[in-house]
Amino acid sequence: MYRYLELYYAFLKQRLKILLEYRVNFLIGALSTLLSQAASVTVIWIVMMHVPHISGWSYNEILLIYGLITIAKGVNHMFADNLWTLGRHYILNGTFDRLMVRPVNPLFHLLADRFCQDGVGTFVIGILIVIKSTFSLDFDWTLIRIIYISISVLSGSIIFFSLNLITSVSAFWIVDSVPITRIVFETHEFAKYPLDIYGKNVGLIFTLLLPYAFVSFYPAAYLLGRDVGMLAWGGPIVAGVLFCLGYYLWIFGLKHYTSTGS
Amino acid sequence: MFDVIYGKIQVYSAIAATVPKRRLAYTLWIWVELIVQIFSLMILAFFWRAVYRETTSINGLNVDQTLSYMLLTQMIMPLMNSNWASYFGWRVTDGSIAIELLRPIDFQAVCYIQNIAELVFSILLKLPCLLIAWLFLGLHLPSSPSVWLGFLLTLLLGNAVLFFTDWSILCLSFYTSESWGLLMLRGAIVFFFSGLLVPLDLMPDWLRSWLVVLPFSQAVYAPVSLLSGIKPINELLPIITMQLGWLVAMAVCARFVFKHATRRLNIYGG
Repeated sequence: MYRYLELYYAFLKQRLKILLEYRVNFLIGALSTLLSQAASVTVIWIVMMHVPHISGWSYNEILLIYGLITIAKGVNHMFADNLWTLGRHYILNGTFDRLMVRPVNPLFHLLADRFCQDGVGTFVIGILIVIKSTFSLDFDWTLIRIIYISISVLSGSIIFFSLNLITSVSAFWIVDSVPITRIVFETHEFAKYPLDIYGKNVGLIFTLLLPYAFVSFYPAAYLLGRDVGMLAWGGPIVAGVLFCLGYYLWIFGLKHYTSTGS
Repeated sequence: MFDVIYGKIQVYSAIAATVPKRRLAYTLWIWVELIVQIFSLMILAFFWRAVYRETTSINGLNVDQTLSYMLLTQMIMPLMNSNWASYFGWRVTDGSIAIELLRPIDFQAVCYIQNIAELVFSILLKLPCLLIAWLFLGLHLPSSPSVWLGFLLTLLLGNAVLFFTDWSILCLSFYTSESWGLLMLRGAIVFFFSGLLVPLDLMPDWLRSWLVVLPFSQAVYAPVSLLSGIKPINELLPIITMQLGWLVAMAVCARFVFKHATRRLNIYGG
């Protein structure tokens, strides 16, 4: 474990050197994420000047949902963005062989290859939104709640990661996995708003099939004192199950990896 | 005389034809984008229906007007990223704009043709989304042909206003020799102030009275508010007058700035 942390640090240092070379790109990435987040929040803000509640949720309560998923998305974006490039940058041109012959877990190597700086902006904005909403809500910041939020965010990012992993594994067969990953990933947009606005069926999809609701809605509902029963504690379990499934599929995919030219 | 016109038509239609060729190169992506688009249309529909469960009217807009407006702006969304603009900016940065200016064809006209071709092609690509929104998501489309004509007219005029505004902004890149910052600023302004986010009627009064007369809303709010029934068709004349006013002003401005900016480029070139 310690060896892997050391390795990650070594990879990160190299990556930061590259980033310092292209500072403008860093700025572009940060500004464009800021822009798109600000746009969605502005819509909610403008609408809620006219209606105080949407399906029983106030402005700041919706912001908490929005903020939680944004933090988890940011963490996933920073540390696991390289999954997206598995097909195009590793399998298509055969460089995945490089990862296979090294004495390091290939999945770890793939993720460590590229720390994605664009996620930093998303992560920070998410934290700011959560702080803003909790302060306006007179939220009681107890130690237990801080731990609960940390665990939710962590399991949230693992849910993001695992769903991306499950879809990316298809790259071992169809090479370019980005279309499939993107379609599944984009459904997380639904979970930025309270599930109550969608009705039962859609709510079920985002609880059972694409469990993004465990990233945002259920933790926020629990923190705001709404009765969601055991679902409040579902995040870590769902994250664990999805991760095991994703990792199993990854191993299965690795066995079918035939490199290029075959 | 006829030969000259015929020759020009040939050249410009060849330029226009490159747009669909480039865009259709990756057909798989068109399908992916379509599915992702349908997701965001669904979220929009759910969100605005939930909002209107709390009230029947917001600043005079009912649920059908707002929902139709929001669904239709998704079809206009391609206006956000004009490919010709990034092409222009990139050429200034790497200096190859000089070659474009040497060609025996008006560079502004080339960009305008690309811009129109992009607009038409993007809207054609959105037709499946439009159909889905109309069938399943509660998009109300007007039956009167005069509204459709008014929409097309204001869409074209508004697009031209935005084109010349973009052109004037881009000419600043001759001085900064970087364009991404300008393009991002432009994107932010269009995004927030053109009516893409929400119908301008929902904005606070002091802000709305400004936004309605600025050039950016001419490209989005003016046509879409007509088609979604927010503005009745008998208000077409004042809308078009305003658009024509902006069109003339921005066209003159664009020519003027471009003339000065290229002089500046010559100085740098030595």
